[in-house]
Amino acid sequence: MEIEDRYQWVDPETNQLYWLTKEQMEELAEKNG
Amino acid sequence: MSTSTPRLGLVKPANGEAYSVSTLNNNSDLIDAFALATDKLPKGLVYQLHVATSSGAVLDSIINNIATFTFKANRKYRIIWDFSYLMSGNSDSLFYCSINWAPVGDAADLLTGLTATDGRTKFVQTFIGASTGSTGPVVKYHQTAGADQTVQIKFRVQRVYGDDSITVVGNANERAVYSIYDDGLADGSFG
Repeated sequence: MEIEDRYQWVDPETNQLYWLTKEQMEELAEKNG
Repeated sequence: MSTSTPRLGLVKPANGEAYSVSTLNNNSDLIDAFALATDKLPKGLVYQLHVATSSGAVLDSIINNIATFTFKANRKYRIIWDFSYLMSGNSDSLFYCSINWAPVGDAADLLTGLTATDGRTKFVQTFIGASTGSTGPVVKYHQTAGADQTVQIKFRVQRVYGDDSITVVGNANERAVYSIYDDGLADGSFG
């Protein structure tokens, strides 16, 4: 089974925890400046 | 004048019940008794989350959380964390997978302030190497006392032996599922 790297992220508005891919983390960083 | 039943708040007509047109009936009667009996029954599934993405490979981490959940007073609940896991590496390793309470408002990834409730230990042997397994769900049987209980629920994995990391698996065909079932009125059958 191939598992890609994932990174822990907590939505500050909902306090919900997510595991995001590197690409998703980069998108978030871009959105948030 | 019209009145309401004490349990359900149903409005009764001013003329009372059939056996008397003059007696006002505000007692607990059949409909109230039925409502009380119904309250004792399990309500079944009251929360469910399907996660189709895997966690990262971790040693000690919160895998998921329910930011806030209110357990109603005097009820029995089952919290079920059903998942597969993958361990990488070449050593026998044990991971303790647990369901924890935390204060509402604590950051979801915070590892402090936890009250461990119940868990299961997962094991992978050396000769298998990198391997996936599912040795049954982690279940917390919970019974509330006389007041509602609002908590954050955190699902944690901790390595307790070995050198490997663990990944909680989630994909379209092998989802991690988090469920809470209401099992009916508390009866003091467990702590």
